[in-house]
Amino acid sequence: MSLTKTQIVNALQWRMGLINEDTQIKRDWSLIEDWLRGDPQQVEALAAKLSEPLVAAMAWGMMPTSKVSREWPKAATYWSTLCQHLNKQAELPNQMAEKAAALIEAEMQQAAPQPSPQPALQIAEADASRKREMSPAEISPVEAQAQTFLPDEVETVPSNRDVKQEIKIDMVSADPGDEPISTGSDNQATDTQGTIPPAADPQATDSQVTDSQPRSAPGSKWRYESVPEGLDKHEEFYSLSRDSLEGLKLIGARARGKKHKHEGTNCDDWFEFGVSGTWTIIAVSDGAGSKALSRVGAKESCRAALNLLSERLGTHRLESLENLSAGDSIARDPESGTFAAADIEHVQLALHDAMYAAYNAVEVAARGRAENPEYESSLGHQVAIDDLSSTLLLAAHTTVRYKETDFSFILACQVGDGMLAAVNRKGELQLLGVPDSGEFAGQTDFLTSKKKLTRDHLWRKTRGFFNQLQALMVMTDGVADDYFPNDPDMLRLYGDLVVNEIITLRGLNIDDFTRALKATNLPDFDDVQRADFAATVEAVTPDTPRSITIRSVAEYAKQLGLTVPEVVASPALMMAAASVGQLCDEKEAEDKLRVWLDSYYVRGSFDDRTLVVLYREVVK
Amino acid sequence: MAEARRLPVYLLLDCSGSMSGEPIEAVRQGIKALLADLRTDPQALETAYLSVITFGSSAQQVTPLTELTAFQEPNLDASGTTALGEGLRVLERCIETEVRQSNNPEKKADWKPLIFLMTDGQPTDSWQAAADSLKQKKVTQIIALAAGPGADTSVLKQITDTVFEINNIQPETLKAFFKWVSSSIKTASQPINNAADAPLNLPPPPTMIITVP
Repeated sequence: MSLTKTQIVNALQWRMGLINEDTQIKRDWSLIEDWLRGDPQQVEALAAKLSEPLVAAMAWGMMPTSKVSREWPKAATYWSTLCQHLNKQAELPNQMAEKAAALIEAEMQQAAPQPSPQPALQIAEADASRKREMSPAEISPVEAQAQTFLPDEVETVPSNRDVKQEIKIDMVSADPGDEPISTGSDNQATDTQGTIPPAADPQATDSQVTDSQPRSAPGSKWRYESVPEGLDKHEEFYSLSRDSLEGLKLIGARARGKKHKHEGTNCDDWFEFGVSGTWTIIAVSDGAGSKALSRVGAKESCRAALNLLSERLGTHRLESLENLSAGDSIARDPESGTFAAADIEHVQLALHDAMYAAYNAVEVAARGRAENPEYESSLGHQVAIDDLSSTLLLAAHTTVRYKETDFSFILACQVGDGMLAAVNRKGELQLLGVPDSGEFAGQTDFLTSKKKLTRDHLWRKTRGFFNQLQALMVMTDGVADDYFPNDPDMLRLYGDLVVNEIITLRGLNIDDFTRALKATNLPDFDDVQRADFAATVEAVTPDTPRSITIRSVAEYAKQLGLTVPEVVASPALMMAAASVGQLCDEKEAEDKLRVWLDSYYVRGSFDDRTLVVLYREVVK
Repeated sequence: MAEARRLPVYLLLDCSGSMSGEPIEAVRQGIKALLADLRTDPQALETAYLSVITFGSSAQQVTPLTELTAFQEPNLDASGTTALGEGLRVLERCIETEVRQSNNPEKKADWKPLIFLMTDGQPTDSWQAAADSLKQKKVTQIIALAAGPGADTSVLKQITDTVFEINNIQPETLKAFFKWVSSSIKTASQPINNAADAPLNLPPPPTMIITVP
């Protein structure tokens, strides 16, 4: 026997006289009664949890705005929706009651206790006193683990449903934490014996398990060990921003993966970017996880490549493109990959030379350490270039005046895994990356395998973009793998960056939002503010785990009744979602990016994460 | 949304008649210990999927590839002969159907599967062709354990380079083996950028387990 939070909330609404009774609700209520068994502690804990949004809203209403405005954006949303519904529609009592019911339902659902992400075994190990304090929902059977976001193919909500119904359905599909709560014999057994039998549900085999984001990661088992002092220490994380050219902005961040935090090892990723002449240059690298000094290779290769490209492109201008006639493509020899236009081939050669320069720099770094006995004793052998294995992703961007419009020209090249992806101003995706990968996951090539550095290999991994650019994203596998398949999921990545307000878009206002929302399942801006398309996750940090609420463009799209590409193609829709609140206290785009990289949860994702974005803020 | 990458782990266990009684009980205890240990590891919890294949007079997959939190210890009964060859064929078929390779652009590829093969006797069916076929595909990393004096290490050596040996099937010895299996799984779910042909990076085995050269 199991109850979802929706059922609990429905039953409570019925008790409040907000909705009519039916047999299902009465049955649910009697289950809840059985389950609480009149235990005042249990009842109070659940009631307190469910009232949190109302308390927050009222507290918000009593505080001077200046004091709390930045503290808890959610409370502001609660307050404003509450006010709106109590005032605006006062002359329509029936509808108001209906809306209020929907609102209370929505808010209570959000606040309803989350089932514990812990597996049964750990709950069984937890000490008795802690179990006493757990709300009933936290004692979840293992079957709850298999429940996460509904899969993508779940139907979207038809728009002609009445308001209450619609919100209810949305909430259910939106809420990854809306997992069955076990009542009845299982829980009784838990209370009396203090153990939960290991998973008994034959349905919960691998094929049923999806990995999309549960409310929180199984975080408690992830330890945090600081970066070790000593040879070639790389700081925990790093973020950087600068203005690019022609109104483009450049941000980048890297965050040490959970795996490295757990083991107390260095982050192996690195990135560099810069502007030289009319060119913006990006280099991103991922050190091989199995190699002790790969972080050194990552850093040296990025630096060397950036230096070489800055030097070679600094005075280089593309002229051939300005004279392209309509419909022409950029000609390239299919045998050798040579571009017909010499000025473009120059860029390709520069990229390939940057790969060689990176290789040479890594070799020098390896040789420099080979004589050092400290390295030898720490590695157990003399440093060789393989110990510095890393991938390398390079991109060079310039703006070309074409048909009286600014067009972006990008040429990109990569060795190893990771991804480069460009989104044009229509919201269309073009992948510029060609990752090397083997039969199974985690098998890739590195810069240090010299056979990967032949012209014949490199030109096949050199791709161009000539279009109006909205965003170019360059990332290591730690991010690319979480957005799979990359086509079309790189659009989801861009969408997540925008709806979490890491990338700020400008040039549209609330009227544009309203117009764009009209034809969706969230037809008012109010609906967007009220909708829940976020999940709270816990980042592994040195101190207490940091709780962060991260919005999901995929969830938002689902609630709008649209696909992710449709949402990404509409800056107004994305801006509406971004305006709901902020991700974190950090203000700068690059810091927000770093916090986001450090926090978002995908099952089985614990690699270092690095992402550099070149983007345009103005969308109109 | 795509599914997570999995580390498929297959336990290929000899459940022939000679294993009945104490030895099979030791295996049961070993699997229990393995699960308990893996369930404390956050990486293993997110990635490792376990399957059990047994072979006696015939071979069958008794537990399909299942994530750790949902995994139930199978009922192991020991009887019959030692159909190792059939066990290998079942294994190959399971890998074919259950493990995701990167040739599917829509599905995330799994980590390279890890196989732990344990036997206490001589195979009683033809196994050579099955072993060759498995070896040729290079899709797996097989770790074999010859348990007790009746096991034939030379057969296992033809299946995989990584062969270990224990002198008896006492609960303590097997527990130590499974404990080591657990740490191997934890290690295997770690290297993210392992080159295709990189040797398996195994933790050192406990003292009662002998590496067969």
